[in-house]
Order: sequence, then C-alpha cells, then structure tokens
Amino acid sequence: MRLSKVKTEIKPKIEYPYTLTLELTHRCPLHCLYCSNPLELVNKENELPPEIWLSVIEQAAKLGIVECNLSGGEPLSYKGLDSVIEKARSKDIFTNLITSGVGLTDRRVAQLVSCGLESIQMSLQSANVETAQIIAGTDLHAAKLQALETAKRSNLPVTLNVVLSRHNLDQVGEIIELAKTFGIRRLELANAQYYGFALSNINDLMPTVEQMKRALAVYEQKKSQLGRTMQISWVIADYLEASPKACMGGWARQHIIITPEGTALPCHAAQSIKTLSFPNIGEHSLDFIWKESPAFNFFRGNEWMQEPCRSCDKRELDYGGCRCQAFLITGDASQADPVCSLSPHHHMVQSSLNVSIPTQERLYRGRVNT
Amino acid sequence: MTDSLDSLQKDSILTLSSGVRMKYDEVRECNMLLMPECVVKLNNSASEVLDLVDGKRSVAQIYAELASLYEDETLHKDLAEFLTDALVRGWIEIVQS
Repeated sequence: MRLSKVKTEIKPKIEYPYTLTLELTHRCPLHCLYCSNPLELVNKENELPPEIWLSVIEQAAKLGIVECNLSGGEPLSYKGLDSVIEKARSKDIFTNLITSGVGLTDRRVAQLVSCGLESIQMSLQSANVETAQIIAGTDLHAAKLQALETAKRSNLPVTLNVVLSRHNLDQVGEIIELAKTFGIRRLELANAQYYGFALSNINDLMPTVEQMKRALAVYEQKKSQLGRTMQISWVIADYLEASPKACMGGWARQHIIITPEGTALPCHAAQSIKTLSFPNIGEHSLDFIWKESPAFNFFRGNEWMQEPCRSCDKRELDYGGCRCQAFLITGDASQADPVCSLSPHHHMVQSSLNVSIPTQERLYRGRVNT
Repeated sequence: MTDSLDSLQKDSILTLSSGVRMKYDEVRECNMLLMPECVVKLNNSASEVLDLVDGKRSVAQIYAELASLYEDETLHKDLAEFLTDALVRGWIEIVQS
C-alpha cells in the first residue's frame, strides 16, 4: 500500500448525486429578508403527503444519495417528518434537520432521534434581539436561544448557520462567542447571496466593502484562537469576489432539491431561471429527472458556455459560476456569472456595491408588508 | 489549527468524531465518510486506516497493524500526515482519557 497516495476526494464530479434536500414545507415562523426558498412559495394544500416522500427516498438511495437534508420552511411543522427521517435512516442515508429551532423541544428532539435523526443545522439571525427582529421580521430570538440549549442537550452534532449582511456583520465576534457558549462545534458564517428573495432586499442587506473587511478580520482572528474546538467556515459574498464560485459544485453534479409540491431542482434558486421548466416527481422518476430531464442536463458539461467562459482555463473549476445569478443580472442563464471580473456584465455587479444608503423599505418573507 | 501536530501523540487513542460515520456505498462500490454537511468518498488506503480508528487503538497500534501488512518506508510519515489532516478536518478526534 502506498500511503502517500492516501488522498480523499471530496465530492468529485461523478454521475451520482450525493445530497437530497427535501423542502417539506414552505411554512415558516420567520420572515427573513434573505429567505432562500423560491420566490413563489407553495401553499399548505399543495404540500406532498409523506408517502410520496417515502417513495422519493427509496428512489434516491438507488441513485446514490447518501445524505438527506430535511428542510423547509420549518420542517418541524410538517406532519410526516418522523416517517421521512425513519425511511431515510432505513436506507442508511445520513439525516440532517435544517431548522429555525422554533418548535424544537426536548421531547420532539428525542422523538426525532429515535426515528434516526443524526444532526441538526440551526439558523440564528443575530447575537441580539433587536437585530434578529430586523432580519427575521418577528420576535423569536429568545425561542431560538432556547432551542439551541435543547439541541445542545440532545448531544446531536449541531451546525449553527448565520447569514451575514449589513445588519449583523459588525457582530461577527459576538456571534462566535455566543456559539461558543452553546458548545457549537460547527459554525457557518454565510454572507447573503442575491439570487432569490434576497435580491428584493439587496440595498438593505448589502454591506460596504469596509464593513466586510472588518468582519473578515475578526473572523480570522477568532478562528485561529479557537483552533480545533470549533470549525468555523466563512462563505464569501459573491459580489465582493473577483472570480465566481463553483455554484452547487456545478449544475446538477451533486445535489437534488425538491420543493414541497415535488418540483426537482439542481439548486435552491433554480426556479429563478424562467427559461427552464423543472420536472416534478409526481410525473417522472427521480432516476429520469437526474439522468434524462432537459433541465438537469442543460448546464452539464461546457457545451452551453459562451465567451469568456468557453475558452477560459478555469471553466472546469468554476463551471462559469452561478447560473441563477447570470440569469437574474443579464437575462441569459448561459452567460458568465457577472461576479466574474471577465464578464461583460461585471459593471452591473459593481454598481450595486456602490449603494451604501440603507433602504427604508424592507420586504419580509411570507407576509404582507406593512 | 496550530495544535494538531503537537496533540497527535503515539499513545493518542483515536475515534471517528461524534456525528461522523463510515458506510459502504453499494452504488459507488466504495466506503464513504458521512458527516454533517459533508460527504467524503474514500479510497482503499484511507478506508483501511479509518477502519482502525475505532476508539480503542492508539496511533502507535494503528501504525503497527499497517506496518505488519505493508512494507513501505514512507508509511510512518504518510500515516501521520493523513491522521493529522483527518483531525484538522474534524473527521476524527482524540479520545480524552
């Protein structure tokens, strides 16, 4: 054995998907300014019944899915959650609950663990109640801190996810300290991205470059202090980078996301690309959707690329960046991601960075704005 | 991440981190490491090492077992590198006595 060749591949480009995210419901107690659910939310009446999800999981296991995110909206408000988790575990699929924490009690966690739940990702908006209310449009900060205590007592691995924006970037240090007091081992600090609903609030959310730099410095200092006691990751803000990221690890290469009514997507925001129509698991098998459906195949490989991507030596690294962002900014989803400095549309990204006056109007998710 | 090299002693007993598990994937026909928000496809060498990371064996014992199976002059160095990397990535942890 040549141990020098002990190298592990992390999510390589192969034909099998790794992760299935089930948006069980779009109902949510929070109304976040940057909500990642599609622009058009699915009503409760149109949510799939549990038996369909059980069939999806059967199919997913055969297709090579090894991790399943139970997400929403708030998945705790979906009645069939327990049976979905049980089914995934019976197929030896790693299960992760992505929750706001609202509704998470000791009793509920114990039930979910007995069904086979293996980890929890919980969101937090801020280190303080005032900012949390600005971001989530509701006063649930205290309930979420309680849920963090509950999650800690459960002994499940907990990932804390905080979306960063103008409102909370100055609190990065406090947020890390807060995570520490709850014994969090994994903390994701994810800068807001502007693909879906967040684009409606871009002027309210976009930090200044200086604010971002200050926050990043705090993060780096804290990270080196913490060492291995906490894994902290910093998800960059696309708009402030010179080159695009390999969005979703490439279009339809690793993930399948399914909305509450069964629409299958290669990424959360894919429905913002209005020129594509996405398959529904009520009409097609998951195997067909992954391998054959036009939408999933549309941006695989590099035949679809235009210049500057087509001849770019990074095209196999970033796959031209985010397709949704290309569509939202240029109107053409096969353009280079405009966050790329080589994109002919790059100036459109740059101009949104110059907006430094917070808007007075905030659009809150899932409710009539007041 | 600076403490990783120092903390990996010969008598350190290693285990897969809490929330991390290995499974054989019949679709890909290989072992995979599953953990929150991350999937790692393991090659044969990596899964052979991680099979020995069981919460009972020390670093020295893992090395001895591999050395009895494979004659490889770089084994010691490669094993240390791999285990250190796995520790830093949070796949494995040291059992606190």
